[in-house]
Amino acid sequence: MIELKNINFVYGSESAELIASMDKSAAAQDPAADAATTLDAGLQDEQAAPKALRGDSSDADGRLHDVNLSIEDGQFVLITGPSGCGKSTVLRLINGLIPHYYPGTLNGEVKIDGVDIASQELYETGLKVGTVFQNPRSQFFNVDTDSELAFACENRGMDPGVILDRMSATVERFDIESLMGRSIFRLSGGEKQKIACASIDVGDPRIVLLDEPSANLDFDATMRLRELIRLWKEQGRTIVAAEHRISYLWDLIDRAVIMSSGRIVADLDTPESRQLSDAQLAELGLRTTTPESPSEVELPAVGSDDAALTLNDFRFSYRTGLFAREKERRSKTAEPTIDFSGTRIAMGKVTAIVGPNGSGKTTLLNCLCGLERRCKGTIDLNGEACDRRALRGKVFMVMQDVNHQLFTESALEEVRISMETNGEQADDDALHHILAQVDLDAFADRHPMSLSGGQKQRLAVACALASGSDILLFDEPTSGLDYRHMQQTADLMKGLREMGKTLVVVTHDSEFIRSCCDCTLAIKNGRPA
Amino acid sequence: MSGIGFGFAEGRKADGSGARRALLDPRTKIALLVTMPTVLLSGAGGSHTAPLAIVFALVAAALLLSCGNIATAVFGILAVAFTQALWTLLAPLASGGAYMSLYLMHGIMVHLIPCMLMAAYAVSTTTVSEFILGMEKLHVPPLITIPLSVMFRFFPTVIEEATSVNDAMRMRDIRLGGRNVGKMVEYRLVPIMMSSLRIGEELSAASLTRGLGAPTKRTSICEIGFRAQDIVVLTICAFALVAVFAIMFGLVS
Repeated sequence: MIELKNINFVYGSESAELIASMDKSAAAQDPAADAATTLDAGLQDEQAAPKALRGDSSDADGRLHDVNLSIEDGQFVLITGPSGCGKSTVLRLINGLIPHYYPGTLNGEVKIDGVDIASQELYETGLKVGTVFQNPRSQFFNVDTDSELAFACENRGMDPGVILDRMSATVERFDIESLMGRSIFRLSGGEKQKIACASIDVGDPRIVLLDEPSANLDFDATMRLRELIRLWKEQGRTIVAAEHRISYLWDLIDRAVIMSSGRIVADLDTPESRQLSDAQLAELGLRTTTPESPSEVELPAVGSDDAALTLNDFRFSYRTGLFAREKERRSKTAEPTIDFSGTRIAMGKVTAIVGPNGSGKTTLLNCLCGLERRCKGTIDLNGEACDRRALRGKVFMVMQDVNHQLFTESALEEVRISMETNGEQADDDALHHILAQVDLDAFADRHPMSLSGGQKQRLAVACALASGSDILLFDEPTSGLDYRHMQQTADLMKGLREMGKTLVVVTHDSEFIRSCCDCTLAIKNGRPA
Repeated sequence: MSGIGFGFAEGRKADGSGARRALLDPRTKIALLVTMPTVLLSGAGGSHTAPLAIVFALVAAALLLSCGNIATAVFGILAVAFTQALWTLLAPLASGGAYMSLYLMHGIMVHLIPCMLMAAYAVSTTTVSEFILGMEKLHVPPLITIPLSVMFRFFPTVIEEATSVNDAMRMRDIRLGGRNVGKMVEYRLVPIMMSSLRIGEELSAASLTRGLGAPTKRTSICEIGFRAQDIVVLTICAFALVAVFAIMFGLVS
């Protein structure tokens, strides 16, 4: 039995307050931005209230107001709602990370079986509660899978023999024999989440918390994750999942708790949740409840008469053996040789690249934007064969983790270096005009890292516009986005299409493909399927 | 050095009973990692350490071969052999600047490469678990052990981040042209530091929920302990240290 009574919570620490005060001063300087010519119109509320943003942009605010929730043993509860609604905060209250790890002002009490979480140490809570986190890159303590599975039990001081027995039971139940004895760094995202679930399972917690476990997974991996969660449900564990992508869990849950701005706005049991219409879901800011594989979304392939760019001799494989760099050693199992000779990509349209993880999608994008030196292929662009060098400046990639490609101190400066690299004189008017095109003019002086996830994405697009690129590549632009932000990204795509840009989008998101993509290019084993 | 990288080397499958054992005890590896730089890089033994360098290079190469990292082992041995041959053949003929550069190259290569080989072996074959257990048996307090063990994970993760940032820079075609070096360093460091901070924060949170830091005495599924091969290696280390100090204090000439 988990009980949350009259919870009010605000994240707070010195650094967060500092950022908040910076935001306030920035907001004071912001001119009214509603008159700007914008690519998408759905951003007004985001502009009206620039919020204090912590390091993670997905749950930007996460404060809670008057939350009351009690969860019976053995229940499977889904907590969902728009980004920043506080669903991750609820999980952190249950596993004790609030108040023991994340500082803030907490009122109210959280009890598990009548014991106050705030009054017991994290390791005591950890005996009952296991948590699977969102980011597969940052939830493992060890570098090998075996030690990872044993980790929680070792910390409890359990007998090694018992730990090994438990491990073999979990390995058998989860069917992960092939993942044992491996380096964590050489697992795919889906495999990492399996190991994360398995390491929780070995600890045998009565309560399992899942914090957006599918955010980085493709459709197939998500469905496999679903199976593991179903095993837990069958064992009678209490499961609390915070998720945007609700479709894969929707028919497993006993109860759906829908949150908005830190409040619980709906608490539905199974029959009620089944009756939600698409319009109601959209109004609550929720994603679709029907799981659909991206390769099942029917879109035309590029027609033979359409204007298209053609890939010539577009082959690439990672080196193996003596001369392979560490990066290649890591990726060689995941990303195979690719061959896209003769593949055509529609110009002036949005093409979705779909296919399972490890089929070569990211490798293809890297080759398209000239990152792989040994890819000798060319692209026929308006009758002109462009090689890797010629493509520089014509192709721009918005990476999955946009944080990696924003370097400077302000949004304006970010656009300036792109424009200067393009060899153009960068006067402030031109820069502001470009920022206005992606609705960021009001944020020109903000530090890129203080922007929200969606704003960072648009800033990267502004850099693409400034560098004069006609072909824009997007790697998973909607992973971990809620309904509204997904729609905003879709609107951004449509706006870019109207500007005549060619867009290539790697995505697992069927709903997003339906919203804005024109063609699909299905990929299997490094080749067009 | 193509094969040097962080992270646990694969290839050892868990057998049915689960417990596996590495060739060397983690404490032996730590002893090697302390002894080799002391003997080879401190300059304590003067020019007399050249034979020791060869011995250590062979030991490190043999260890790398044992864990299947053939490329690095062969590369290291060839590099040492080549420099040694060059030195033996050309040193008597060279003079002045040529002799000096030959001397430096020989000194650096022959002394540094064995240490690098050993580091590659130690990092790629020691699991975090074994390391913690080894340090515990050496009575090193957790205050020192835990931060060190986090490095095993943290460095490869930071390297992954740095690679992505580097890719982003190349893709945006941002180069040194016209801009000062300080700016370029800053452009690189800011995103790496931001994401490293975030990863560090999430990593700590995940470890804490799984009972790291509990006052209970930690157990381990790893088995460590000294065996014949450890004794051999430790004897070599002890001999090398004794020899170097003997030379240093003028007991042997």
